[in-house]
Amino acid sequence: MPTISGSGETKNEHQLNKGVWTDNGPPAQAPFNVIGKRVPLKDAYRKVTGEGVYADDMKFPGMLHSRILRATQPHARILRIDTSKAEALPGVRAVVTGADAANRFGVLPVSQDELSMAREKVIYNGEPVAAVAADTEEIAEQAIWLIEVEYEPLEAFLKPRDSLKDVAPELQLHDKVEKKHPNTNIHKAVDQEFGDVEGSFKGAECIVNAEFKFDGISHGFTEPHAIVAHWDADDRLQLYTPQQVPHYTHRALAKVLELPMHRIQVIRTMVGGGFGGKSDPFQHEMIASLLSMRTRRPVKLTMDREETFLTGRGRHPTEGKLAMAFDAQGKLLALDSDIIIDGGAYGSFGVVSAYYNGVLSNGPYAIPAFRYHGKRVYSNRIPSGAMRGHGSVNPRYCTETLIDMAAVKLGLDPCDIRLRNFMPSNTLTPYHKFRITSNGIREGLAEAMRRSDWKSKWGKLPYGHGIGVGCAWYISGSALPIHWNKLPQSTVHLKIDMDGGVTVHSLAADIGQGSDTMLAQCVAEVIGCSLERVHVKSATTDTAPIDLGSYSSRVTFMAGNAARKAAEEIRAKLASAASKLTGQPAQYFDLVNEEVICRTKPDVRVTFMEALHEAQADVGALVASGSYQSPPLGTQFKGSNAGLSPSYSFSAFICELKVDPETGFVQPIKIWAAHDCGRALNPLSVEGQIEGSVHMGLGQALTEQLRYRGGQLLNGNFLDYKIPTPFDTPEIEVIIVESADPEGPFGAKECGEGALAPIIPAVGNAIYDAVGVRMFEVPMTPDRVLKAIEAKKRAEAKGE
Amino acid sequence: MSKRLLKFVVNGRQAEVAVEPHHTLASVLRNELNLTGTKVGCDMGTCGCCTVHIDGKAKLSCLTLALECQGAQVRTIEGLNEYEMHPLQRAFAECGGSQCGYCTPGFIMKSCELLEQNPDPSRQEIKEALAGNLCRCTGFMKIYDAVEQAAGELRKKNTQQPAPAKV
Amino acid sequence: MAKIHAGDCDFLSGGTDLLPNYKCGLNAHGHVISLQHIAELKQIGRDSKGAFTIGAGVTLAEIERNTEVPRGLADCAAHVASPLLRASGTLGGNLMLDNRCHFFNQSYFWRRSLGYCLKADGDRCHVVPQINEGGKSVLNNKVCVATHSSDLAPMLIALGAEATFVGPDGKRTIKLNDFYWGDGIARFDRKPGEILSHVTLPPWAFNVRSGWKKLAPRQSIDFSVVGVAAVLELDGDKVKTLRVALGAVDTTPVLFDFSQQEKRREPGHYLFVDAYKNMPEAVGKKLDDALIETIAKHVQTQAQPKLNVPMAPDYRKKMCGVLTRRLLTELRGGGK
Ligand SMILES: Cc1cc2nc3c(=O)[nH]c(=O)nc-3n(C[C@H](O)[C@H](O)[C@H](O)COP(=O)(O)OP(=O)(O)OC[C@H]3O[C@@H](n4cnc5c(N)ncnc54)[C@H](O)[C@@H]3O)c2cc1C
Ligand code: SF4
Repeated sequence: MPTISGSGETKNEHQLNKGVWTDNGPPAQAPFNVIGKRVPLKDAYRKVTGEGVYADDMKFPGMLHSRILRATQPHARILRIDTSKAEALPGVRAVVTGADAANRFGVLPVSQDELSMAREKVIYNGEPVAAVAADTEEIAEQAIWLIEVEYEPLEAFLKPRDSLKDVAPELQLHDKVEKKHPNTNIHKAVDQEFGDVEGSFKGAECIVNAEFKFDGISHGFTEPHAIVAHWDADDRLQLYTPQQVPHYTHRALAKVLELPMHRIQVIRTMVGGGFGGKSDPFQHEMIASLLSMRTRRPVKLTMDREETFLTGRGRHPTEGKLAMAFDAQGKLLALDSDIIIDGGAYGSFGVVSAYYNGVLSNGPYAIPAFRYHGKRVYSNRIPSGAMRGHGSVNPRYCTETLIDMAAVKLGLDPCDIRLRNFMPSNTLTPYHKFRITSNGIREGLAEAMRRSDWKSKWGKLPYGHGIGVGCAWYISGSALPIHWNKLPQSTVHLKIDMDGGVTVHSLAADIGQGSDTMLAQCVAEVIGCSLERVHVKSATTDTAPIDLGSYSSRVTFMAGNAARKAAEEIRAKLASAASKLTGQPAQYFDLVNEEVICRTKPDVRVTFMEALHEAQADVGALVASGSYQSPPLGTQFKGSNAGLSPSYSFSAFICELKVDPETGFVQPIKIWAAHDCGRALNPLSVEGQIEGSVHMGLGQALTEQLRYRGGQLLNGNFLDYKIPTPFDTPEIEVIIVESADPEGPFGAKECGEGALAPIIPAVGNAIYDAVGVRMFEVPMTPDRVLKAIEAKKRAEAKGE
Repeated sequence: MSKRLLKFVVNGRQAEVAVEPHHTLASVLRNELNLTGTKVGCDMGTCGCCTVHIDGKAKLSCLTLALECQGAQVRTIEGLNEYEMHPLQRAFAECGGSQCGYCTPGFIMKSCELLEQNPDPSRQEIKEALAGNLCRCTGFMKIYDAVEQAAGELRKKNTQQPAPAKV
Repeated sequence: MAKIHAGDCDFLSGGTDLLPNYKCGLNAHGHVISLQHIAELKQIGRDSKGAFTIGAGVTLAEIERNTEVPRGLADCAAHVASPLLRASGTLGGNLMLDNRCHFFNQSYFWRRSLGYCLKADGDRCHVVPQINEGGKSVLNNKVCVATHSSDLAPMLIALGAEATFVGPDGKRTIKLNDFYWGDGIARFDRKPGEILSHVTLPPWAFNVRSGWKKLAPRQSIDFSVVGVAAVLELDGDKVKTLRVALGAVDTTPVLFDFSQQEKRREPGHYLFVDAYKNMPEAVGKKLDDALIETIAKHVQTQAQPKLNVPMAPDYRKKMCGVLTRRLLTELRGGGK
């Protein structure tokens, strides 16, 4: 039975069993020591004082500054590049172009389609074409505009549907496209059909369908891209970069620069927000490295805000046609979806996105029959990629809107119809065999309904005032790694020397979500020490064992488990040391609060340090390694790996808002956000993740969109790209649901991404409750809402 | 253009730097004085990351020319952490008001100005004061918590100080 | 100094408009003269003759907090940009704010990709690419339609403010409404080297009800995409004075003076909006819902916003009517 807590009520009442790791004797009954406590982030004090070092804060002796020349055409052949004038400018130290790096790279092994800089042609307005390193940033900026580039424009593909057409080879953006459509600009097509879709629709009591459209959006992290590359005196490359996934950058650098990986060290700086936007290996990382190798000097590259937007990898612009079938009781019979997503210029994570847009619709409701046709296309626009809630967010809006429409048609309460269809816990989905472990969505929705007083509000509020619901689920780490090999997905090393400090080595990237803190908590809990003892080193590839980094909500589940395992090794050593000192059997010892205590004779105890020094006799520092690898999951059809995860999170949100029927403005009033994260290792962080997800989701719901003029991004700045301000953000009440996943560390699953998707349909459905219009275009900007209201009025006037 | 000498007081210390007339205060603080706690998120006045105090007022250092600060008193995030950590800094850490941390110095500097003018702000007043700062991580809730907590602490501290003797 | 550099100089006040534009390389001048340390520009209050003046260097934050200025003006100042920008931004900078256009307020890289435009470095307009010349549609290489985006300008115009300038040729005072003039490039008739010293509010501005409504995508930080300022004086329930001014719908603020005290300077004072066309006579009439509706409809019909700032022009046009109606209804009830 999941337990409920959260920002609205009890804080930190986790009197739950520990004993997850005792394999001898009865499980300890003590409460957790550090798990479940509201602890500040490990690096918070560095952040609040300004001491934390981000890449742009770095300075090195002799450091050069660089700027990138970007394509001023969306699609064009490069006829000529002349860098001589730039090279002649005093203060310029090096100029590089596409000719200096021929190897392609990309985050997915199947989509190695990015060049460090364009070579024969440019494929989006903003693509890097050349770069300069100079004594100052101003000289570098001056120099890039002295580089002459002659273009021959080609037909540009700016609407996703244009990319479906057969075209001449020179109009294909990449050599490798979807095999089924070899003459197009389709990057990936996915077609899946399971169960009797046709039959289900034929026999259905209620069918709902609609066409949806979503604008592209951007991560909008506050730190613009910045890096420093240093080809040092030992002929090694040191790359300082705010990467979510240092390991993939490491691999890509080795490929592009044709160096063995060990001659490169990737050093993660503090990351000023990522949200998926700092998880690809990037062109600028290659460029700064090339410039540094050329000059043997440290080279800093700091982008401005517009360039950060142009580097892209945000949520795909999406068009979808979806239908759902229900029986008379509101039981879901089938889902049929047809979705095109605009990938922009590169592959990026796009193959995964193409699958996720379909397969992640197989929850949180049981879907007996399922069909999905998905296409991801290339276009001459900013590359799309992975963004918080990757692949699940837009289709989630569609299905949640359709369910609401079905509820209206069938005369059901929208929450009730959802409750009728939630998948149970401990089950497998019928076709993809997604393994659902713990599932607290029922409890979550019930609690959100109770706190929001749903039953007395829904359908009963005055015109212009409404309440709506949205539910979602999300993976807790992709079960299959991107690179096929036998390595574990996460490894964590521990070292404790005589000073008593516990050093945790991991490559899981703390990007502000608090993964360092999570690792420290997991370790401290197992070895019974205070959190202050634990120091996490998660920045450098030289010292950290590989972890696949911070994406797909995998870190707590996977790195947390690896840390727990490593700590258990240490725990065993400390327990036998205590046993040696006291003569009691090792398995009787609990490690709690800096003491090693004999469970059967509580007076028999030694301090953490006594046990430690005993354990170190003759061996010195204690070291241990733990790793995590997903269990075998899933089934056997092409593409069946996509969407597999060792565990899934669930969420149920309710939003109350007001719509101004004359202006179309939507003012959210309050949001109740229930999220099942298995176990809140640090409720402060869990709430922070959920509140942040809600804020970001509200942006997509109401104000954020990437707008273009032809191939040019119109709003690559924080004035015109509308991140909600404090005034646009209502009160958010977080409801933490703890369902205790059997495999997650201490029962934890993800909470940083899944909580974004449900807010958007909750807003859309609340708008319907307020003014009776369905929004099929996102963001639901005032002009769109007003248009819908007026259309409804016209239709009513006509007596429709 | 030739450099000019800028003399001003930064975090209580006299500073003299030669600056280009077109350089902003943000770039001089970061690049010349190595006070990199002040962040630049948009360089256009929209995100508030670069907020510092100029003569006691919270202003955007990315839209202030360095030379405009001739003779001025400038305070940055580093200046709040002298001898002891400012209650706002502590509260932002403890309440989860900082996640990625990039906007944090700006939020703290603006909040600091608020608490100097209004030791007991309501949540709405906090919102109004922070309406020019953008945070992408926290959804603002924990930032408001932090300002409230720090306000309480500062009030306690101030009442504990002996009242000035009446004349 | 201004005299020396006349022609190639800009003034810097709060810098919140000038610096973003300079960073984008927009029409940067060789010299920038700072007005920040001129004490005379920073005064707000009654002068020796009892006239209420606001110095050009007074910040928006100061206007917002001032308790003597008409309500509408304080309210208007309080909704400009964000608290941080209002701490620096000044009245002078606000009134001289450069017009905005999403093809203009862009980086050098961006504008180069587009091929520049009339307002900076280019030879054509991308918002109105063709104009009618002698019955023929030809390339628009003449008129820029960039949107006037200052919030205080329409409010002060509704309040009948006058602006006093000091320049190489001495001092002059001009009705603020007459000052704004021309297309998105010309914008106003400021003589080279001239600085705005202060604005003066007429005595009647303190006897009327005034108000401001702003439409922007977000509730902070953003520029107006429609701004409506109104000034109302009632005689019982009858209209005595009624002035409505719009921001962000033309290349200048647009005044609708329903009491017709102020004559337009000449036809073509506003580029797109003919504020006077068939203007409903309001003075002496009872300000009932019907009259408010007529006035709102008139304002809405005349407004011709262009697609160069956020939000669609037809939507913004409609909002001119909605906001005018709401504001007048509020003012009739005594204001906020
Ligand atoms: C993110 C953002 C949002 C904004 N939102 C709004 C908004 O909602 N509403 C709004 O109205 N404005 C807005 N602004 C624009 C600007 O901040 C304000 O208009 C502000 O009042 C400008 O004043 P300033 O003193 O900073 O101007 P400055 O940048 O110093 O000057 C602007 C122009 O006026 C000239 N100038 C200044 N003073 C004088 C003088 N005394 N005599 C002659 N010329 C002078 C300058 O030479 C310059 O050309 C916004 C700006 C930003 C960056
Ligand atoms: S309206 Fe003016 S600024 Fe905009 S494109 Fe036309 S000429 Fe340029």
